[in-house]
Amino acid sequence: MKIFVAGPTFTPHAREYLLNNIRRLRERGFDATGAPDLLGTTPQALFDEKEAALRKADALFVILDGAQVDDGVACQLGLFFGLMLQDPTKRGIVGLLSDERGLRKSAHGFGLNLFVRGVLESRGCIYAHIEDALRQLEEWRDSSVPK
Amino acid sequence: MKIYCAGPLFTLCEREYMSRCGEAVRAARGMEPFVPHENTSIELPANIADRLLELQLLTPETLAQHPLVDLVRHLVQTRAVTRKTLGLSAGSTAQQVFDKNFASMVISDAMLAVINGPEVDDGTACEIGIFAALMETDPTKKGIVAIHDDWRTLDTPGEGKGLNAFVHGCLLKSGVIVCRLEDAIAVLQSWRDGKGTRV
Repeated sequence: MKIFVAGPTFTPHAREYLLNNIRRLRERGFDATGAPDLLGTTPQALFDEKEAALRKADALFVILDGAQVDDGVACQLGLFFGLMLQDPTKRGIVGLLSDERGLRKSAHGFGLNLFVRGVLESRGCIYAHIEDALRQLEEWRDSSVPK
Repeated sequence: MKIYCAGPLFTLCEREYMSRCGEAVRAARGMEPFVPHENTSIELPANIADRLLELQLLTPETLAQHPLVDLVRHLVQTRAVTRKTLGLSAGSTAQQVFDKNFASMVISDAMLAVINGPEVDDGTACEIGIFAALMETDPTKKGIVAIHDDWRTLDTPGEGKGLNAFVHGCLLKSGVIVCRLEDAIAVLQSWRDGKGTRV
């Protein structure tokens, strides 16, 4: 199952975190992609590259940390949701949120933007732990009926 | 032509600006705006004002000074009263917000998106992505016109880190970016009149 990993990639640590998540997914047998943004790439080229990867992906793994969901990540989330409407074989969206500010509000939607949370509740799930997120993806992979 | 107005709506200033965008759209011939905060997701039962007065959660004076829907939203958010007590629908607020806004996006012909801020508001960015995808399967959709006049994300030296490249690329593919509300209205008018080509 192809998984696109979306998350903020603006600092060395954020890129390392993203790449570690890609590695974890690959270790569990997933075909995971999600290259960090490249400096010097034009917005059009960057969009085209990521849009193509989102189109090929069966599921989206999205890192929701930050004072708000990173705007590029939120846009990718919206685009993937729209692509899911076109392609019923796409399985869903798994959000990973480890941000303490959001975890303090875990009983109240993790403090997420209501529209963003609505998208996730509609076509996916939000998890605070990577293992739970991986289990959800494995469940989708092992089930024959697309979510 | 139906126009979905997307943008941050968390402060009075932001809501006022989004309402101004809606008014400018409404003032243009043949255009009808959808402004999310003016279309609350809370469906109010007919007798709710009486119920709130009875529960002494509101006074007649407060009721006269503020829109009922804002007062109800505040009471629910501050947990002064539960949705159940007020007879409101049980679905999560997020799901209701999403359902109502998405339904409007589906029937809208174009999007006007305010992308100001140190980064694009995440809800707005998500809506831009969804509308871009909807454009692929609905050829009647004209495009997204984005208003961008925040120096922190304009391509100028100094304070600010620029516009997110993915959002920027998405907008360049699905629409146009302008600086002023007047220019955004002009773009929408050209789409309405069939003068501007679909992006």
